[in-house]
Amino acid sequence: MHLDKYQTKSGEQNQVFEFVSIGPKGRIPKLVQYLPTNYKNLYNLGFGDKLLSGDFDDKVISNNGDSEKVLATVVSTIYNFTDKNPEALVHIKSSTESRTRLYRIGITKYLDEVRKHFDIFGKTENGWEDFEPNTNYSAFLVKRKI
Amino acid sequence: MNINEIDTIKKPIVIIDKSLDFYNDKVLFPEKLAEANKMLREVGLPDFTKLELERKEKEAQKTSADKSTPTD
Repeated sequence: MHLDKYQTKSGEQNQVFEFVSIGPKGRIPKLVQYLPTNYKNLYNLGFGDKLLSGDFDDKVISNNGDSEKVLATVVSTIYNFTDKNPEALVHIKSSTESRTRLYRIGITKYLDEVRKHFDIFGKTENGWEDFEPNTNYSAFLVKRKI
Repeated sequence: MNINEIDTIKKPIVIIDKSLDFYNDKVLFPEKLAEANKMLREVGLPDFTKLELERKEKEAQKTSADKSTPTD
């Protein structure tokens, strides 16, 4: 599997990653942040655009024509983050339904590859289950296989 | 390790930029974190043991079905 990805910058703690989306709408800085939740070893993946004001927006739809490349880059940060934190569980929930759908499609497309490296769970109305293709999930949890 | 040994397919080379550590103790997406904590409080974590067993059962069923499928 080879997916085109953006060059990424990271802080020394591998907790914050930055890359720049390049497309018809120009250069859009993106930031990925892994923050601890109230649960031990459970981190939330935050992802959004870095605005000119210095603020961050995780609801904006950039439409920069590179959604697959952006998604692949975000996934690559999960590899880097879990390299440093192999016990971590990562919670992923998009701000919009369309983006959550994009995540599901992306996971499904590369599921065999993803499962070599991660256990992956999806959240339904009834709770968590092992990720199944073609099922609507509102959130995901991933854990690196050790 | 030389540069050819780095798994660039899944992990592009990451440039360390210490300025990004400025954000480590800042919550850049507070709504998302609050939502995650609320959901986890209400739903909890997956039952990993149960899900692992279910997965193994499914794999066993799939393997069994594959073996019994004619291959002509």
